[in-house]
Amino acid sequence: MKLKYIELKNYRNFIDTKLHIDEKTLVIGANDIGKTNVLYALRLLLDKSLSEIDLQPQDEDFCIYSGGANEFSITLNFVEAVEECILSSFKELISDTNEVYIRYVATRSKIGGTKDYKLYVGASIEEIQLVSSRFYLRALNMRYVSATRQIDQYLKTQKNKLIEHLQDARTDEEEMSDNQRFEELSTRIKTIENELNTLSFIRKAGESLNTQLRDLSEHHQEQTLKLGVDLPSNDDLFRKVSLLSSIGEHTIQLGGEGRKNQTFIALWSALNQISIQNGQPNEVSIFCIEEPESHLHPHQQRKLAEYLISVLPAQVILTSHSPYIASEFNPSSIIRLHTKQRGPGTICNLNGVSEELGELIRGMEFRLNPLIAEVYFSDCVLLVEGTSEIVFYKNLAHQLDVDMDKLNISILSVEGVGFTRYIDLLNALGISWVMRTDNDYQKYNRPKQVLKEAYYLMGVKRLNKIYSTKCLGKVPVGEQFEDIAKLILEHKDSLTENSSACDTHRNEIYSIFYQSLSNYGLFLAKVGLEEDIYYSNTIVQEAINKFFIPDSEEEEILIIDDMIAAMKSKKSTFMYHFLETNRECLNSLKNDPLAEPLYTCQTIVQQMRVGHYVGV
Amino acid sequence: MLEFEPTDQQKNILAWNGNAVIVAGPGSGKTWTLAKKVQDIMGKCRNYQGVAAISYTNKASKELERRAKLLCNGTKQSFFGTIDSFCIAEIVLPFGKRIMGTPSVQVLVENTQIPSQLELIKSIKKAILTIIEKYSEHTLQQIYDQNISPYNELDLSYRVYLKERFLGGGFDLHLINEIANLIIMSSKTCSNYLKAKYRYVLIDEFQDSGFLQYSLFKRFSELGINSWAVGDFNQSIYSFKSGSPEYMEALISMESFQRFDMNINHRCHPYIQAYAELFLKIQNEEEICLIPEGNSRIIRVSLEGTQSVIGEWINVSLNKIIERTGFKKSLEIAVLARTNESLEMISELLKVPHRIKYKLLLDDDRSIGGNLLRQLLTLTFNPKEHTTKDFVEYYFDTRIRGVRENISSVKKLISKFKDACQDERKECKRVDSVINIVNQIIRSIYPEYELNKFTKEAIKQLVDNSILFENFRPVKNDEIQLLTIHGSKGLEFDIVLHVDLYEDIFPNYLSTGNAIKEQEDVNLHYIALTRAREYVYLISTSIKRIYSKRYGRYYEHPKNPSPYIQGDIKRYQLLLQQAE
Repeated sequence: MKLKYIELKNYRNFIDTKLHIDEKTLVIGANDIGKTNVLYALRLLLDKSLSEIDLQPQDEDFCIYSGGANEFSITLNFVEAVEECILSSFKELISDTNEVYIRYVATRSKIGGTKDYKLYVGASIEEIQLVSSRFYLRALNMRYVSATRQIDQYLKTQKNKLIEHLQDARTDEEEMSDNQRFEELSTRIKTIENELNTLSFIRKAGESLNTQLRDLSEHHQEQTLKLGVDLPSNDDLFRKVSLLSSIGEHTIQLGGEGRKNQTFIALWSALNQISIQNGQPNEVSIFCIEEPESHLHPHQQRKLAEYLISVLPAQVILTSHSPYIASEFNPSSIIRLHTKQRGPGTICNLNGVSEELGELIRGMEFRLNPLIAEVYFSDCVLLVEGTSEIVFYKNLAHQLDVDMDKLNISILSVEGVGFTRYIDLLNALGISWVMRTDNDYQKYNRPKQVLKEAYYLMGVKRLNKIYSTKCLGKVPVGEQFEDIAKLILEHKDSLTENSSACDTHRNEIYSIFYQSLSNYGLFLAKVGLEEDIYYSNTIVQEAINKFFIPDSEEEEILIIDDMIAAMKSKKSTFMYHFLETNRECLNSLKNDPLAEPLYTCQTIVQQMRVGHYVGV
Repeated sequence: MLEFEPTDQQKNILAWNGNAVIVAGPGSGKTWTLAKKVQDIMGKCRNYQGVAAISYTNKASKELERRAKLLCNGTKQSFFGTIDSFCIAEIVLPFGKRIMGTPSVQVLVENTQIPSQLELIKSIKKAILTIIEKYSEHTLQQIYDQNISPYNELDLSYRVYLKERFLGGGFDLHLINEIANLIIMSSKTCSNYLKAKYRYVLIDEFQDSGFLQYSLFKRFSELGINSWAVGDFNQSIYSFKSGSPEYMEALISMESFQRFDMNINHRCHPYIQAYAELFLKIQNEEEICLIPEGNSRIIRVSLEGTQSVIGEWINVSLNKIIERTGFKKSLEIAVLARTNESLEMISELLKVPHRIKYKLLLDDDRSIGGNLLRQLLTLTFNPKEHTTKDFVEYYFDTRIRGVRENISSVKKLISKFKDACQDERKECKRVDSVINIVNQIIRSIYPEYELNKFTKEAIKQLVDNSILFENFRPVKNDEIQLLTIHGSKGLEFDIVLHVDLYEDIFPNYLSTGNAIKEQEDVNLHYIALTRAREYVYLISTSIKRIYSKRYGRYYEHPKNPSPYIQGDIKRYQLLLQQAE
């Protein structure tokens, strides 16, 4: 039996969202986006530890974005319900195609008024019927580990459980042999006890006490007191068992928080085995763990993710903030929760897990690494041509007080991969993006055409194509004055039928397209990064000149014909070193088109913030 | 009986893990063996599984459940009840929804009283029977594979009728077994459910099963559920309810069913057992192998007069009987007759304390109101057997929120009911007030339900003749019991006083020529004999008194004693002189 989707309507910060779940699913999203709410919705229907009182709805559970809705619902769809324990529990409530629906509906008379809830189960949405309780919990439930787990406490209480568990699971022979051994050990314990009591200071303490007592009282002459060591026996002994860590034969402290977290997860997994006989489990459980990466080093995070994916014998839902875990996960199994521009409430990408997303990512000709995976957690991504841009824009952002981290903005270089692949990925994940591309010419041979050698304005073409095919869901940042589609049609030829790489022509096209495209976050360079920077203003130009020719009084002065070429030849090393000492000159770029991509990112993110939306 | 030690016969049975037919004679320890088997099965069952233990009466299933619970820690998801309640709860109500739709109200299963509907029900029964017979040789797998839905072969008008009634919250009890068969054949989900949940099905008194129960039983075994049928050919007495031992015989002849015999009678004194077997052999014209040895335990009494003289005779002889046999507790002495009328005639003259089960209108009332009334009366007059708590547990699901207020108001009403029944004062409005209370109780459970007129009549009969309440009181130690032989099934006594031994009652003159009915008469006498642990008194009188409804008066005819107790078998009886 598998959970296929969770549908939340008017629940907490979800207006109407359907999340599709996979065998192993990762739920990511910014803090306070509602990840825990999704798990809590599951808990209302599946967690045994919640009592009837916990199921009562509160005012805070009703979504505030829906104009004060007085009803919310949580619906779960399960498929492949074939296990015997499920058949026995659900009886006729399973469809002929082995599906089951479970629904929780809460209602209130008004805000602050009387509240109530009802539970429904059925073979299809149309056939669900009212049930009096979560009768199915013995056969279908979830195991939950929260982000705020008390590891020390858990380790203390649960270790005994593990021991009891193992004691019960012994075979008769094992039990007999253990009991025999225990008797032998008990005698040895007694011996040690006796020997300890012969230690001189312990013995003397006893003697001294007794002497004093004898002087005090005559009554109890036969009774002697002594100090001694009392070692626990039998069951008591097991209470004293602690979790020890050892290296070779030496015992050491259990370890830091990270190690404890790992121990926690290991212990929890050991205690949460599901008993299976003849291929039939005793129950169907979904394992939900929040932030398994707590306190762990990146490599350990990856290892933990791998462990949880392969070892847990059931459906697993994890939430995480870790790009290391995200990059290990099957990409089509990632749900990203986020808000969108101009709209309240939390939604999720593509309604959750999808094959499409998986194909997209697998189509990338390289393995996802955590750097790339960081974009999963961003609210907006600025796609640029190469690492020089990254260095430049990071510094520019700093100088212009655009706080990238605070705004959850990432900058990503598409070098070697291309814009389109990343854009597809970001669209599928529902992450807003902005791009800046060079306005370059490319020479083409066209033997069959009239103009045999033509120069194409690749940058513009690139942006136009992306506009036409990849921007369906994009919301313009400001008011859109021109119809881009019209523009593209009008100027089609001027982008390709150029006999030379003419700069004037390039500038013309630039002015025609720049405004409209940039409103959609598609930024065209005037020429290229180095050119745009060098020719932006005099302050910057002088700073660059000074960088290459620091001292014009020097004896040997290197002749640099082409400053731009020099900038380009060193690539990002130039950028890095230049900005190391000349950052302040970037302040002058405040109103330069170079800075606009940053401002656009900033605006997009601000528009997504709760309370900032217009309307509804 | 926690130290129940199985005999070798029983051990063999307990060790068997396939389908079985168990021929269990009287006193063979059948109920304990079944309870022990339930305990075994529980050990091997998963938490979500259980055994379906089906008995002929509610009383019998309660007894089996009680014994099983004594032996096991818990019976997991097991079902203890009658075949009707199993069909209703596990097949018709849940999976009827898949076939007829989901009703918005609770569905109550009752026999319809409206005459026009009765005709329709009869036709539907016939139609369904035809379909069941049609597919009796097909396996369930074949039916599913070919995508056949036997239910849809039922006439459209019938299906519409059933659907309307079902969605409206009603279903006819007459159709339960038929529809259960049809549903299993038409719903794979139902089969999957039964197979997942039940490891074993045990059906008791299989000799009284009809074709429908037999069909159902075969389907269970087809699903892979270990199926056990337990019964005794010699105790088949319910042909009037369509029961027949032929189905049990059919099972015995099937390869997949292993036959076991439990023929050691732990109850009866060996003399009685041997005498009873001898009787059977003579009647069935079989070779005699065993003869009773030792002092006879079968005492023959011949009296002059009508049935009433039996009453007088008991008055005089009871002490002597007790002295002679050494048994002190009167309640272990039973008078067994064929009809209630005979018992009443005896009772009129009986001066010693005794208990007779009066014939009540309520006995035939199988409606929801009737069942509820029966429970109320039991908990009023015999709280040890059935408590208010049992009542509440039966009718209320305590997991539903808001049900607790309901329960406390019902408890208050139950107190009122008890007071009203036990109130000796004769008030003319008493009947109405009792009906009113019962109505209120039932409305708290089934808000839409109306008590039907038969139940109201039944209440009137009881309230107007409070002696009838005795039926519900527990038997006292000093009361001898007066029962019909049908009513004594499954019970045992130290001493049995067998009456009604007239030539035209055993065998019944109406049975002449009808082989089945003749066999049943033989079985009845056999059952009566095997109720006794120690002694049987065979009492015949010279005159039979009978009431004729047609002419509205009593008639008296001289009669000979029954041929069952005459002839060669007399050798083994001890003749008691009338003077004694």
